[in-house]
Amino acid sequence: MVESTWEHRYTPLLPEIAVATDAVMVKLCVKLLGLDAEQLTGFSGVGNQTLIAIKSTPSKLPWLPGIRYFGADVDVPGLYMPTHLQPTLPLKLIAQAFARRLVVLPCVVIPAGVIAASDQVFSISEARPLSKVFLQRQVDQGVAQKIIDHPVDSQTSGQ
Amino acid sequence: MQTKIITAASSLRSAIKGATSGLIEREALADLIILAAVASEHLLVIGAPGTAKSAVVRRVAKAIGGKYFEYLLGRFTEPSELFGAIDLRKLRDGTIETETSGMLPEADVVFLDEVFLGSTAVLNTLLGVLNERVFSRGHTRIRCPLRVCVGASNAYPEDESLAAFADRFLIHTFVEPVPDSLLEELLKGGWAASSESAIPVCSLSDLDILTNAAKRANLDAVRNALSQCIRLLRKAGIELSDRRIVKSQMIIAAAAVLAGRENPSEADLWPLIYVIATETGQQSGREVLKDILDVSDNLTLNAATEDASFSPVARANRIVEHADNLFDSKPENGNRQSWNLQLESLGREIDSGFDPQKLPEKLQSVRQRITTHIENNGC
Repeated sequence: MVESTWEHRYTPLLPEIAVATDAVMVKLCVKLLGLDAEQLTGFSGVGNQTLIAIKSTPSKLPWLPGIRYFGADVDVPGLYMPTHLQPTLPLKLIAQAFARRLVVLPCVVIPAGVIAASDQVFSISEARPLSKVFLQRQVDQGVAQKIIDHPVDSQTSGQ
Repeated sequence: MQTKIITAASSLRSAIKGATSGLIEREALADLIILAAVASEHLLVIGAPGTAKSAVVRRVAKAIGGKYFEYLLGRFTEPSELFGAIDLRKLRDGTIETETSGMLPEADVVFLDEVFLGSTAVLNTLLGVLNERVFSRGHTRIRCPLRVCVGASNAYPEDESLAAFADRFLIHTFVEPVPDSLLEELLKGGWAASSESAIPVCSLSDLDILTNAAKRANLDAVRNALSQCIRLLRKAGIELSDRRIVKSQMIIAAAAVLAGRENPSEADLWPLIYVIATETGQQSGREVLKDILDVSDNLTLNAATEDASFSPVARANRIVEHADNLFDSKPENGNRQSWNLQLESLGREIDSGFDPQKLPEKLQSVRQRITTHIENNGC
């Protein structure tokens, strides 16, 4: 088995997906909740309790400290990776490996160290247009998770 | 000497800024005109009509305060339209002299649009002016003060004899129409630019200081790296004539002095990309030389440096300058939404374009400024 590592990308990819986790996710969703419905047009996303991935045109993607950006190479348009990194193995080979593991493209690949200590891969094939309901649910889930992870901090900050 | 170089380079940087104010995506072209002028070389610009080629050259000429001559060449353009008419009074006395007053032979900066449409007579006379900086016709033989000739065309010539003429322009660049993402800026900048004109902010003596400094430069430190670049280009099938290879040293030296360095370093090899004659060759060259050009750095000609090398330093320089301009133009009150979005756009470019662990120090500071603003203003 050949292991792929990541190296500096000479020309960064255009950012097409913004990923935020934990407290940054909550801040990002609160920021997006401040937009009106028309401004939300053009955004789609997926999320779970601790992570949100938002897709849009590069110039519309929001910015907050802590957001990580992902883009895709023209060779494999559905494989989103950190905009400043590239794998040492050919992209098509990586896409084939994902296909064998039933990872559905389009998907986001987060190498270890970019957000978490280990590699993460998740599909964004289920991404839906962003709605205020979805964003509010992400905020609620993020806040709840924070209380679970740091109960004392949450009580203190709530006072 | 170093101080004089830095002062002159700084004046030329102001000239470039002034000349490209309101013009979108044309700073690299202005940089290359200045680079060519300092190197005493000529620039060929290939691009569709209406891409502000002549506007940039005209504004740069005005900003550096030189005599300017421009002409749109056609198949039936007579040499006298460029070089001046025969002096009839002197002709009666039996001497053939050309009245060159206000014409190309007396200009410091020349712009020739559709340059390949010129007749053989025009191009042959031009060759003498471009190569030797001497205008010779009949009994007239004068030294031309020409600093730089910018030739423009819609396409690179396929005809072999014209390609040989194109080869006399050491620096080649290819101008694209403004991309979709910058159309708003094009409209806004174009509207503002129509009501303002460039004013002289430096003088030809600044060019002279740098040209002389470039001629004195010691290239020993970069010769091995330059040879390596040529070998890599040849290996990739990108050929440069021996003449262009030798001459490339002068524009590398010119780039160095424009960056404030008396002698070139590896940060000054990026102009080599523009010595490659064709657009596809330049694109391949960027890829082939990317590891070597990764250290490219030139604050005076940052747009051209970034275009040639896409080096992290050049990208960081542009972002820092943009951020400084943005913070300087912070709206006093009222709607700051557009201004905030521009700040966010810079933050996004920093975070998407650089490894957070290896962020250049000056970008860390810009990012911190943006973060503080966003957090304080609840954006």
